Amino acid sequence: MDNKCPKCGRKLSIFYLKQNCPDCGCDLLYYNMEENLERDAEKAEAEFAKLDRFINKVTAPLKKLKKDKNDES
Amino acid sequence: MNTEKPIARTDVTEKRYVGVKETLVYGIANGGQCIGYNMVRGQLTFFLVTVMGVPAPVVTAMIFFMGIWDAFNDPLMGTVVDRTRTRFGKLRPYLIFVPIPLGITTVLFFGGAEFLKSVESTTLKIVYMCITYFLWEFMYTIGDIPFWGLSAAISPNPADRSRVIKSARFLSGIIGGIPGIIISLGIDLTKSGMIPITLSQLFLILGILGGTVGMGLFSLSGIFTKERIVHVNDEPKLSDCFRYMFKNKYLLLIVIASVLGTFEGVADAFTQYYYALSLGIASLSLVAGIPGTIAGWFTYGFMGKLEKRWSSKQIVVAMSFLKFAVTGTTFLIGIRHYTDPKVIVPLLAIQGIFTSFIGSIRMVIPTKMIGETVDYMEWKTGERNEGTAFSLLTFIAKLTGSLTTAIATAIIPLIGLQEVGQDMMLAENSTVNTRFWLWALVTILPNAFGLLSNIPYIFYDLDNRKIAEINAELAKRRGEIAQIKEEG
Repeated sequence: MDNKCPKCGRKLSIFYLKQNCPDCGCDLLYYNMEENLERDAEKAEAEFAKLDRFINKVTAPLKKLKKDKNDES
Repeated sequence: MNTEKPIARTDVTEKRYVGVKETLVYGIANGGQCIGYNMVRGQLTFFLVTVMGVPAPVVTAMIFFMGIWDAFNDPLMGTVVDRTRTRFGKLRPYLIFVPIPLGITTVLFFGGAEFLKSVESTTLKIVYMCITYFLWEFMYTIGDIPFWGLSAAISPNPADRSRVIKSARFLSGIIGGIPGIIISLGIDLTKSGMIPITLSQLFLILGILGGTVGMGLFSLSGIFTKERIVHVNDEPKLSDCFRYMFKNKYLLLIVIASVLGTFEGVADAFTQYYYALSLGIASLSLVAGIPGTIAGWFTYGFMGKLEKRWSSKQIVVAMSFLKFAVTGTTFLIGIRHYTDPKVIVPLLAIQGIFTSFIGSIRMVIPTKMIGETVDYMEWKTGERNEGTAFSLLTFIAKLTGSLTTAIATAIIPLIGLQEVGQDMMLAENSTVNTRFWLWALVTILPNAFGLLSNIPYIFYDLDNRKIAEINAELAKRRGEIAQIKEEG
């Protein structure tokens, strides 16, 4: 939760709830919405990639065991 | 102002916007919410009657009147949410603010017996009970509707929404189950004198734990999540919120289907009676329930594959028929052995695997469907009503819960059961084969009636293709609106 206006940089009290900046009138919720969504998407992909790596690491011995069994047979 | 950036985003269904941490936080927060909820709902009668000393009929009357109040309270709260516009969104402010008063009311409610221990007046206790329970229920509703509404507003991508709902249902099942174990242990240890406190002190301690730990976790949903849907219009009128709720035909069909499926819940109401009276050991239900519980957890892992293949409607209808087929088969196999635990316990354990699998799917898909109806209404009218739509979800849960209890209560004398004190017994001189009816009630009968819930889905044509079209169109519109809003 950023407590300053993303456009004019005015500091906002944590109890300031209105959707528009009191100085520049910018929509605090939707300002740079597209870029924010893109950033969220990149962050989410990075987190899922990390999770996938973790899962692969954990399941690697099982996969190896399976592969060895297949090779033997 | 940069006007050259892309306006339309048609790939919203291909991108993930909600990361692993946010998905987990949403689930953990629901677990925290369920700690308080399960404590209050699970111990309501025991705490008020046995620990606090309020007469049982008064408690029953209070629960009944509170149920009626909910019928108005839920949609009203939904409209309040829909009319909220803040820099944090329309749902998150409630999730940030509500855990504090909800935690306080949880402590006040469970502290009642200890705070009033020197009070003799039953009237005063009743007044205290009504005020604290009303406040708790009210605060819970203010938190619950925005919480589920957030599942539809957390991302424009339906797959993200489905993932957070699964996380919430899965983690709340685990975290929310903890108070039940702690309370049972606490009561036994207190009664046996192994911990030197009274029951009223025990409940005060549990209230403080539930109010702080539970609500602390719940508050995470407001702090560490985001609303990612752009609202087309500014504050809608109060009347518009109600009007849109009744104009949302898909939402209404889901509501009707849920009400028609009420009878299915009757099976749960008779399970304990069946184990105690037909098999002779009530705790066998725990043994039979273990494989199902584990199967239910695993279901969350591969639900995504089902969702890729089938539409939400297809899944819901298929699960209804599958449940009927499974319970029907169980009924027929056990028709000659329904009093023999050696046959029945493994049989019900296998049935439990299937019903838990279906149950887990039903915990997720209908919630996701309500989110889809919210998108549909936005596409149709330009208005987005997470508040009113999800207030119906919470209302349906309460309504069907009350209806199930009412139906089960009406069935009890018809199948030769009678209440003796606090116990349920087989009625003497009854001409009805009670054990057979109990067997039918825990297997096929509720699910045969449950098939009625599929009727409204005949008219439900919101399939994956239509949803994809709606999402693409909405993404375009939201992109344009976001740009207009940004330009001021």
